[in-house]
Amino acid sequence: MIGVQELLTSVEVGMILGVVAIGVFTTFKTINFADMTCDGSFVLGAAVTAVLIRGGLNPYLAILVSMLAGGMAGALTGILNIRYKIADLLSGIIVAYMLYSVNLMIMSNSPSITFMDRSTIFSSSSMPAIVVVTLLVASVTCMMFSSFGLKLRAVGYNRQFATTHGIDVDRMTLLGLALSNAMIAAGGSIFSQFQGFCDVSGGFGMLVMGLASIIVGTNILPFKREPLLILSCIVGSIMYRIFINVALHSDACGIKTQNLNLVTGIIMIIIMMMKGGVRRNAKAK
Amino acid sequence: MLKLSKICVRDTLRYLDLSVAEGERVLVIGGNGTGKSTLFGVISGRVKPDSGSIVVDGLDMTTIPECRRTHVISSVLQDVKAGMIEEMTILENIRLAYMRTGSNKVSREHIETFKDKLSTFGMNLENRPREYVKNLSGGERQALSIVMATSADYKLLLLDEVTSALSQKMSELVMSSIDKITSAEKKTCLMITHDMRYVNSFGDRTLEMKDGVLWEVSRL
Repeated sequence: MIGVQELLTSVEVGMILGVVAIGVFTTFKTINFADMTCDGSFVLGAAVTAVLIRGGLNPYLAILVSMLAGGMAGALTGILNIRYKIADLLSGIIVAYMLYSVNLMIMSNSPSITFMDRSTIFSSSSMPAIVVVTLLVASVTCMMFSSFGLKLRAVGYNRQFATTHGIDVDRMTLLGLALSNAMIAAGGSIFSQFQGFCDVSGGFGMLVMGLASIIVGTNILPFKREPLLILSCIVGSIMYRIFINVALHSDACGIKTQNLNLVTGIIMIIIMMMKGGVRRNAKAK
Repeated sequence: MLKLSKICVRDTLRYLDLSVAEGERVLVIGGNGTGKSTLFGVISGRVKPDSGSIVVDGLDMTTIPECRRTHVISSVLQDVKAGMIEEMTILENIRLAYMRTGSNKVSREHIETFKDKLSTFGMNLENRPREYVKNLSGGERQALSIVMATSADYKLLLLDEVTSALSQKMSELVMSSIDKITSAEKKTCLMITHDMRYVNSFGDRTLEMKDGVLWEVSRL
């Protein structure tokens, strides 16, 4: 059985990784761009933070610098797609692939660096991290309600409409990718501070985790308006973490930690099947 | 205001000339395949003519970029779905249409103007600003598309078969509302239709498209 402490840790990790889910949501849902940069930009945020905190920089400033680095990675994916007409999927894969080497360079060619002895946003309590995550979520939600967010969503829903209504689709796509990867890097930064170390392969599976959180959140919560769906990402991420923890701690099923990917996939399939069943029943009525 | 000179598009338009004065409302009629929609495509920039010139409000439409063209010409297409985002609300669609001319702020005053225009159609759309477009009927969508087209400043309004998919009652409602909005705003308007009921009633003059050119139709 899962204990109270493990449950609280799941909520905490779910909140932090919810920021990554928001980043994934911004590209996959808002601007309708299959961006694979995520796994690379997550570690980029973590690596930049680890190096800066070890160098004595304020942990909050480290998050901002990480976001800037993540934004630049996202913008590079956008430039490859818009300027050089490389397919969205491929441009993201190329940048994520290159980021592995960049991250190693940032970490002075060491696959893992620790900074547990340094001051982070988790040093006193988890409250500063909760405030940072809340600020990030509130900023993106407000942005989605603004004219900029409206244009961003218009690009995702109907590019032809956006063009005929004077919206610069390429510029919006670029900004959307930069915003998304800045959020993912922020998630990486906060997560590395939570762990007290950064691992160069720590981003593996982050994209799937982000998508799983979106699927859990948007299918379970009743929000319809897109700006509010951002909140679903956070709640979805927390619920996903709890599901995973419960599944891995249920001895009866014989599930072990190494079965994490299998469990993640099964959770996603079950939720989508349940949603499909509800839709079919509604249609039958 | 609008001046087309010697427009040729393959075999559809043959040295077509057209002049429309500022504030004038012109109805264009004609059978299927006569080139009415091609004419609208040429004016709005969607169809590139083989030869000839298109000048709207002193601007050569063949040379200005698409994003600037939307500042001058506003259009309502036959396929209303292409002109709005179904996954957004009525208000969000109108805000996007308003931002077409580069303005980002939509004031309360503007929203009241949009609501006034929506109320012209008598469909209670003005009281449902947060309704999703996907939940609207065909007539309601057409009303919204007309309000969207007239929400921002424009010089020329193009209306392409706006009543073709509507019932007779709904067509009459939409046409009378278009008449009210366009005459109140005193904007130049070009409308094409199959519906011969409006030949003598809508706008200032009627033209018939035949053999790739326009002919003046005398009104009763």
